[in-house]
Amino acid sequence: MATFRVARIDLGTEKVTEEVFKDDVLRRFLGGRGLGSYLALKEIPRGIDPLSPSNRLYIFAGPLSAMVNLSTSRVTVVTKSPLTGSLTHANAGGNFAYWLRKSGYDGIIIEGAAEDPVYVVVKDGDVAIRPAGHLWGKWTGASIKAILRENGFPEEEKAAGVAVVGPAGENLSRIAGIRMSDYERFAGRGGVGAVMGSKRLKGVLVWGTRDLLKDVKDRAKFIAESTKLAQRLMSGPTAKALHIYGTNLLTAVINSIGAYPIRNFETAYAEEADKLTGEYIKKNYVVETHACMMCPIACTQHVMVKAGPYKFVGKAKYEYENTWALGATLGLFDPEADLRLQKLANELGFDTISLGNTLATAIELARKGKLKLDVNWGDAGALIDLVIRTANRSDVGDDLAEGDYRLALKYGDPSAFRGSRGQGLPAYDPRGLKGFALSYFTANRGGDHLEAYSPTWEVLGVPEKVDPLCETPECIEKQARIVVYAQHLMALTDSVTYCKLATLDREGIFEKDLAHLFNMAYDWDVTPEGMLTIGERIFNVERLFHVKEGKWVKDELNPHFRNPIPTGPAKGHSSAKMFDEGIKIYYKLRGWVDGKPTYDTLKRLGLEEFQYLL
Amino acid sequence: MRVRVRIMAPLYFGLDSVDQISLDLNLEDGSTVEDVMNILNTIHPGFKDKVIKNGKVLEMHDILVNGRSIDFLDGLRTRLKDGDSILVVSPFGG
Repeated sequence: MATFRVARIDLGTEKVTEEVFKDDVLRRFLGGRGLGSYLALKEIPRGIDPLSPSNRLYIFAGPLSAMVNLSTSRVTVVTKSPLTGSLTHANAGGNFAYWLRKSGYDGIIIEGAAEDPVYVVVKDGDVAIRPAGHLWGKWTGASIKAILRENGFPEEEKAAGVAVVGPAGENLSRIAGIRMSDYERFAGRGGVGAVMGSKRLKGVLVWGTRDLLKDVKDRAKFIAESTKLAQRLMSGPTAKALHIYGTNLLTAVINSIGAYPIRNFETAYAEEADKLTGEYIKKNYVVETHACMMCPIACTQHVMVKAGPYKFVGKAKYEYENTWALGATLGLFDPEADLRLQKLANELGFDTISLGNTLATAIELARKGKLKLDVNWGDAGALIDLVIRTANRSDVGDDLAEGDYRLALKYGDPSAFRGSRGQGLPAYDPRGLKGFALSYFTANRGGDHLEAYSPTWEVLGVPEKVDPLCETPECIEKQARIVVYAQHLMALTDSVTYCKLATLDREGIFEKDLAHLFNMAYDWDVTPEGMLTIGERIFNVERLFHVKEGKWVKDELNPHFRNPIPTGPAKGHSSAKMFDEGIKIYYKLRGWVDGKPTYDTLKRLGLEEFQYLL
Repeated sequence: MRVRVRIMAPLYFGLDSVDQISLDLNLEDGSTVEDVMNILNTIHPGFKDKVIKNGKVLEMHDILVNGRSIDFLDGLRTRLKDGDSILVVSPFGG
C-alpha cells in the first residue's frame, strides 16, 4: 500500500493543510505529473488567468522518487501555463525531489498569492513561510546561496533542495522557468516560473531525515532487486556515452542527418555547427562531470569560459537543447558566446528553449522589417543585451517577455511562430525526424520533445529502428503506434519519477521494471500493460484540461513544416504527409475524435468522473 | 575517389581524442562502408569490434553515409562515391 503526503500551502492566508493520497488514487495516476494533472483538472477553475492567485502550482515527486538508484530524483511541476493558456508540466533533476521526500512530504501545492515576497521552508514536516523582500531581484545562483545560508546550511547546493525564480519569473515573463538545486537544474517549460513569481514566491527549501524505505514491504529484497536493475542500466552503452560527453553528443548526430534547426527552423543543417558539438565543447570548456542525486549515469557536464569577451564567473551546466536554443537557432556558432548566453539564461531564470525561440522569432521579425530592432542572426552582443532586457521587461524586452507566439502575433506575422499550442519547439526539425511531426504536435503541453522522444526509435532503434524520413503507409502506421506507446511511457517517467535518459537503451528501465518495483515496494499487483494504461490515463487527463478550457483540443501541424527543408541531408522533406495521414491513425489508436477523448475511451480508462466535460 | 570519415565521441570508443576524429580517405572505386571500417581498424586497432559484431552494427550505434543510416541503404555493403561523408555514431540521448 502506497501513501503520498502533500502539504497544501496557501500563501494568501499562510494556512498549511496536510493531505494524504492512498492506493485508490495512486494506483490510477502514480505521483508527479499524473497526480498533479489529475488534481489540476479537478481543482483549477476554468478560464482563470494563470498569473492570478486562483492558479495552483503542484510540485510533486513520485512514489518511487529517491528510493532507488535509477535516476529517480526528478520532480514535476504542474500548473496552468501563462504561455499556452492551458495545462503544462515541467520536470527537473538535481536533488530537489530527493530532499522534498526526505522533508516528509511527497508533494507541495502552492495556492493563492503572498502580498509581499516570501519563501517557503519545509524541514522534517514543519512548514515555515519567511519574508523574501531582501532576495527579490537577485539572480538565481545568489538566491539559492542566500536561502541556504539563512537556514543554517553551507552555501553548497548539495546541502538541501532549493527551488527559486530569478528576475524573469519575478517579472512574470511567460517564458520563465524554475531553477532547482544541484546544479542549474530547471523545471523550464510552460512559464512555470511566472506562476511562481505571480504568487510572489521567491523560493522553496526542502530538507529532512525521513527514512524513504520505511514502508517498503521487504526492504532487503527491494534494495537487492533495484541494485540489479541499476547494474543492468549501466551495462548498456548509452549510459557510458552520456557519462563521458553529456546530452550535447546530439549536435553532431542531428546536424549530420540534416534535422538540426537553423535560424528559427529556416533550414536544418549548418556546417558551422562543428564548434557547437559536445566533443568540441568537452575538449575546450568542460571542467567536470556531475550527477543528479540517485543517478548512476552522471551525464552532467559543467563548463567554464575563462577568457575572452564572453568569459563568465563560475561554472555553467550546459546541455544540448540550451546549446541549440542559444546558438544554432539564433544563427550563432560561437561556442563561447553560446555558453555565456546559457549561463545568463540560467541566472536570470529563463526556460532556455522558449527563450531561444523567442529571440529567433524576434530576429526574424526584425530582418523582415516587422519589428524595429537592430539585431541580426549571430549577433552575440545584441542578444546578450536583449536577454537582460527581456528579464527586466524593459523596452522591447517587455514584448519578448511575452514569448514567441504573442510576439509574432503582435508584430503582424504569425507565421514567424514555429511552435505548437503557443509554445516553441525544441532542437529537432520535424521534417527530418518525422516521428516528431506527430509527437510535437500532439504533445499536451505544446512544443515539446519529451512527451514522445522520437530519436529513440528513429536513430537509436529502441524499441525498433524506424526510418526518420520514411512516409510509406507502413512507416506512418508504425510511427503513430510508437508515438502512442512512448507518450504513455514518458507520462510514467514523469509520475514515478525517473529520468528519460534511462529509456534510451535496450538495457534501460521500462514498464515491466516499473511494475516490478511498485509491486515489490507497495504490494501492488500491476502488470506492465497496467503500467502503460496508467500512462494512457494520465495523457487523457491532460487532454481533458484542454477540453475543459476549450483551447488547443484539435492537434494541428504548424504550417511552416509543410514547406520542405531547403538545404542539407534532409533537403526536400516535409512533415505534411506524416502528420495528415498519421494523425488519423493516431486518433483511431487513442479512441479520440479531432483531439478529444470519446465517452467510451474515458469509460475504458476509468475516467467516468470527467465524462461531463465532453 | 575521396571520402571524409568522422568518428564522433572518440573517448566513448576508447580512442585517444576528445574531439571528433576526421579523416580524408582515398579509396578505390566501388569501395563499401565495410572497406572503410577495415581501414579505420588498421589505423585504430580494435575499433571495428567496437562498432560491428557478427557482421552487423551494434545496437544503439550507427554508421551514416551523407546523413543516412546504412540500415536504410545497403548496410555494410553500401557502396560509396566520390565526395561522400561517413559518420560513425555512438549512442547518445537528450
